[in-house]
Amino acid sequence: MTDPDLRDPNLDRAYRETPRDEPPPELDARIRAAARRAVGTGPQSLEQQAADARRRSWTSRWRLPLSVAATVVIAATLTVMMQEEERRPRDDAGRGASPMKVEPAREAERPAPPPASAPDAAHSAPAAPAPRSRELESARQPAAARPEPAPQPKLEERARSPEPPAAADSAPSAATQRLENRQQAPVPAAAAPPAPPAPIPAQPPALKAMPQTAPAGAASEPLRRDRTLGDRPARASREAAPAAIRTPEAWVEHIRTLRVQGREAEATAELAELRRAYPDFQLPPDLAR
Amino acid sequence: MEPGRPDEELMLAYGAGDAAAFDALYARHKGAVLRYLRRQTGNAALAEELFQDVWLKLIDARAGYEPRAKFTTWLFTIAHNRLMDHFRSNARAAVVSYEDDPAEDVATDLPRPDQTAERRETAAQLLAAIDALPAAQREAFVLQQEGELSVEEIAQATGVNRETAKSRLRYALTKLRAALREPERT
Repeated sequence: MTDPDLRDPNLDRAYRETPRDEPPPELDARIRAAARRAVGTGPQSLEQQAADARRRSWTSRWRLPLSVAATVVIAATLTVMMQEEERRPRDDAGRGASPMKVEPAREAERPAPPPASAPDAAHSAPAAPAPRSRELESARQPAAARPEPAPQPKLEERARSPEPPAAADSAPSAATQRLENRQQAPVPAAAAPPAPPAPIPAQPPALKAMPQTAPAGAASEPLRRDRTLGDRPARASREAAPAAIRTPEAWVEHIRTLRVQGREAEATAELAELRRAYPDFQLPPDLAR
Repeated sequence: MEPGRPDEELMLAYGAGDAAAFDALYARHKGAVLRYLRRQTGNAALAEELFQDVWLKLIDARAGYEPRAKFTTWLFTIAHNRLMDHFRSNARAAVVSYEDDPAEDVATDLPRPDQTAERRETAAQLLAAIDALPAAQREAFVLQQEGELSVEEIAQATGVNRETAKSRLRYALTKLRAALREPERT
């Protein structure tokens, strides 16, 4: 810090007696005005006020319209994108069989596309006929907006009910599956969204016609899976019984039982079958004869 | 006025858009800056012109202000630099006069105060003695008086090392003491 010998109280006192010059008031005013202008709060010169007003008028004139235009464009884009996203699975599914107001005969004539090619078809195939699109659109509208009575109210309710979020993003095959499930199992009256597989009641003619007109392999995966599941118990019982009988030991017992019962012909046939099935099996002496 | 707030806080507040903080700072330091410039230029009109430039530079620098040093050190650094710019651009010999005088250059020809004069007269004589100082020594003394700067702060504001600033101040004090002490020469 300052050394003591570098400070002289007499000089300090004498210096304080010197005139205390101050800037003139107009200079003070200029500097203070400049300081206020710099932070945007001070009075401005007329020229600068005019320039600011011009700048402000342009921004204030265009700020609101530009904001509104930008908002509208963004909203419209989002709406279109969402509709596209929503329409794609519906179109894919609807191309297979539309449960809405499609005439059964005409719908039956339209071959169902293979599920695997559904997304491509949605893009590359020519656009679906306009009436059909309109029908799909009308299916999305609230029931109150559609004047005609609903021939299939449950399906319409289903169409109106919001899809689960995953449904919009899921693959077309999933959408197809969902729609087919909807077709096969009409939603119960209380109409919970994802209805469990139910017995297929009376189907609309279009749905009945679809398997006949669809090319081989066009049956959707869930349908095939349902059929497989339906077959499985019978096939299982069929396969389980012979397996139980046809162990060699059990088979031998079975043949003995037939002999005891006097069913000699059957016993002989079974024995021959046993020999054919298990050529290496050592037959017991009573049967080896 | 904001009497309690430190200069550095006021400057930060002004940098953040508080125009009232600038008013407080300006009211506190305008006289010292103007007197510093007047002592160094010897010209009231020029001093006012430079004075305005100094404050405009401060206004421009408000956003980047960081209180790394005392506010007055920063303020007088701006003033010193503006003064040097002025001297350089006007090719005035004053720049040369900022060079340190030799040690033996004791001011023997400074005007001596009248021992019997009133204090006002003493002050006037002091001013005359100050004007007679070499520019660098005068600057060191005025910065000490007007800016309340220490030797280190004078060194910082004038861009020299501490020993140089200390030497300048010591010479200035010696000459001024002598000028006030010595009886008026006839």
